[in-house]
Amino acid sequence: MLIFEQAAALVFQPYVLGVILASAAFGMLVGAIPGLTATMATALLVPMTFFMDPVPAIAAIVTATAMAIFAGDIPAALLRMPGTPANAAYVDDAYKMTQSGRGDEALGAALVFSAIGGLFGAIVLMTVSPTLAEIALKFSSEEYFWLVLLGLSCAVFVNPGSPTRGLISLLIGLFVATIGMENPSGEPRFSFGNIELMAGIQFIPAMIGLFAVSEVLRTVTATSPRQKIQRSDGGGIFKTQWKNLKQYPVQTVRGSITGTALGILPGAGADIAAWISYAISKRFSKHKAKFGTGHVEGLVEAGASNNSAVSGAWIPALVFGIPGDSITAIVIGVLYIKGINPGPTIFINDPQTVYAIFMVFILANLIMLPLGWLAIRGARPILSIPPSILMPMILIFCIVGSFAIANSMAGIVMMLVFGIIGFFMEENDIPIAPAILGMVLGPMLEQNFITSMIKGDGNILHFFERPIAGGLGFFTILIWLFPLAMLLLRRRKKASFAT
Amino acid sequence: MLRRTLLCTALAFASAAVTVPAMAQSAYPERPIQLIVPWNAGGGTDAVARIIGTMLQQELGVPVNVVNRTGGSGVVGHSAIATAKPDGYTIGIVTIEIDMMHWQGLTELTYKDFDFLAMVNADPGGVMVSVDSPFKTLPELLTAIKEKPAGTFKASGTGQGGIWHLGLAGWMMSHGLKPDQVTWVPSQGAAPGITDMVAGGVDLVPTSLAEGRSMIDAKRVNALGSMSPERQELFPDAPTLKEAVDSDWTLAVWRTVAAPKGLPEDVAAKLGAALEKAYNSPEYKKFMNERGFGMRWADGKEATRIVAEDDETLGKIMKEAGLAK
Amino acid sequence: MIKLSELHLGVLTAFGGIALLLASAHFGPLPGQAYGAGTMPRLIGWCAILLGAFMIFASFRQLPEMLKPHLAAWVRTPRLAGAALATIAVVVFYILASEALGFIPTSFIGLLGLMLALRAHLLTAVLASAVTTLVVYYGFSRLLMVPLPRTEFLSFLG
Repeated sequence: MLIFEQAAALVFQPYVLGVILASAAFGMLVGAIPGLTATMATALLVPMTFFMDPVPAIAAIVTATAMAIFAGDIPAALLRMPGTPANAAYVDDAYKMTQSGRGDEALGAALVFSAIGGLFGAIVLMTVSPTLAEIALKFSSEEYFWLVLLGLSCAVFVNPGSPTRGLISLLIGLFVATIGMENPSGEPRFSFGNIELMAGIQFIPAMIGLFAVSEVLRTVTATSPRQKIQRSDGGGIFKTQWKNLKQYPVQTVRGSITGTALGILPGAGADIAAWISYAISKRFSKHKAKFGTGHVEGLVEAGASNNSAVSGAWIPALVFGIPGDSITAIVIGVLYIKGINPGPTIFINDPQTVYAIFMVFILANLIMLPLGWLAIRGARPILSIPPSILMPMILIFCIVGSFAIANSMAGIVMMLVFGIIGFFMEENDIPIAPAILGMVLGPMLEQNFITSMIKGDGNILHFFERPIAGGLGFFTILIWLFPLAMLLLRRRKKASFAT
Repeated sequence: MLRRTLLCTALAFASAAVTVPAMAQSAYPERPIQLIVPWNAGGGTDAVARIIGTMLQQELGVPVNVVNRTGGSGVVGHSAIATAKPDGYTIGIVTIEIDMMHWQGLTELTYKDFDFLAMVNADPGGVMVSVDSPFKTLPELLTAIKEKPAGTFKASGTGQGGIWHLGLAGWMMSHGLKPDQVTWVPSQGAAPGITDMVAGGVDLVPTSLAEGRSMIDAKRVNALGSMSPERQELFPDAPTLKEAVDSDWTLAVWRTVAAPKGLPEDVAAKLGAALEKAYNSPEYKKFMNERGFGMRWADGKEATRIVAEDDETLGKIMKEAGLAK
Repeated sequence: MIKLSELHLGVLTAFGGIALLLASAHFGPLPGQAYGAGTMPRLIGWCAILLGAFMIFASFRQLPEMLKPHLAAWVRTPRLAGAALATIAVVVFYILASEALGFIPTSFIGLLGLMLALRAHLLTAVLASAVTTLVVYYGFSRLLMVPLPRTEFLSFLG
């Protein structure tokens, strides 16, 4: 108990609490602007942390990143501009809820379930870190290969319309991801000698183009003026959430667990967690048809999932110094500078600091509620700006955001090209979500397939040789064969009825 | 109103980073300087750039903004530095990859397109294995590599044709073995390579020992050797290749600060002096030691010589290993 | 733009697949391996060809109505088509002009132009463009350290 008191003494100081508050506001701002990511928020904080003690330094990063992921939901719901790839999974549901006057409920759900997911992840982090990190250490390319294949099968569920058009979209995404030389062979593909294309299609500008720019184009070309969005449904931001929690307890827990589990794996992370959780949610939902039309269920599950993944990523980072994403990579650097060396001994050498970090996690996720409420309220007037003013404003934000991600004009060009592609796709009822999923998973699929083949000297059976990989592979194939078997069974039944 | 409050809070917070001492007297520098990093935020080069940037900012009295221009195995960022105006307001970190990518036919760009200001760090390569590996010493490992057929052993730690891939090939060749005696498994950097090794995916990782530091401390990874002329201060238990297996192979990846070719001499002198001060500051030393990065200083002239020398050595190895175009 | 039928999309997809196969024909495998840079593009190419073929085959049943592409309604309305072109033009203008003019003038002109093209009131448009430009400029270049293109003659603004 003494350690907890010491840890609390480190955290509950006016200075540390002030840092937490300020970095929360900062993270909220950065996350709410598409193109600026949680990674960027962290990188900007690093020079400031040079002048801080260890606990406030880490607290600043923890708080800012937790806020940034939630804040990405604000432009997603209001303007159909997902702030981060992790928010893209359920952007259509959130946006359509806003369009039908349920914006407060959508953002409230994103906020509350983000906080719940984050708290869940933090508790897991506090209690079973070392054990889980051990399991994460057992994952090699073969295991990730099966995980990615499982993720790809989610495309079936994130696709709202016709299966053939969903597949076209997925193939477009997979193709886009092959451009450039960031592939296992290191060979430039489809880059035509262009240096910017050698670096590949930048994900964030492409996403801003596909979602936001295409939406701007659709709005300015709408033949009938858009219905005015009814202001607030009187439900309030928090009021409806109690109902949602009571209605979707399983979804909340399932999302939190999936998110934490994928967050712990250094090769997965928040982006994938949100997509998989959304797909799981739809698969087991009683209202499958409502998904993608402004239904809160997937938002609850995926919202909890992406924030718990953020906490989960800290587990291998603290226990083994393994970065799960670019944020934890920066964090590990900061830990070293502050003389706190990550490793299993961190719990023995610096228990009060570690527990102080855990407390910050809890605090950050709690402080998210009032601050998020303020941010949602503050962002609401955007909806009353007439389209002739708002659309140009969104466009300039898209431009600057696409530029900011790599500070290159090429980002803006990619944004425009993908904006036009996205507009064309949606006019022809080709959904965008599968393309995004393809872009996220394509490179992982290729990397893990090729490296596993090299390791196994070209033997396909190699994918089943390691115990976890074998289990995952068996499970994946089972999931793929199940619908097929059901189909055949039904046919057989029909046939026997006919005779 | 609320948004404004938010913005103000954030502004006040961020101003701590932008606050700079009074402007210097001389004409240069009079506005913010961009420091381009060709690698991702979160990586080692980014970390070094950010500390150098912070120190330079204190020396020069103007903000130094670190800008990540990533992708294309460093081609994009290096091109961005080389093609910027040589006015001292755009400088960048040039890494050893500049001596490799033109041999691979990825770009026309070579070290000759830069004015080097200083070398601020160098990390020697190493040889690491998982603690679960049957090999506890470098001679044991090397004997097994020699005896088993080529391709039995797998190594990882960077992309296909990346610097550590070359490091391994160079080491193998120093023993008269084929450069691909050990099969290379491409990875997206040292950390994923080391993680994969601990998971049992590959047998060894020949990256710098600094990259594996946390896993070495956690007793998950054994550092068997170091590709440096002398043992490294932070890893005194890892013998040099010369000591352990009598190989003359050494390799260190360095990070230099460079400007586009044609930098005015007075600007170069000013930047060089500021960099030397930054390098010698206690903050820089402390940072590098805590991170496990190697300290290495060379002024502009000396840095250019080292870079040119490595260009030749690496070119030779890449040609022999069939990695050059 | 144009609305395509299942048949058109099927043909496009199949052609895309064939193009991808041709474009990735020269990618060799990794040394000593059967797989390499060409594996993934070829896999995607074959999937596209199969999908395209399936779509073409499936649409044979309703062939006549599948043949003609439809134009979207907005293409035939000059005002809306103009709005779409203006939106694209603003982005192109920013890409071409911002390096030379700097962020503040480019953004202001672009915003104002588009707002007027979308028929906003002149005064509102001028005010909104100016405020947006300045907020974005200070927010991004000052607070978030994004190196937006500078304007030399406006350098006193920061």
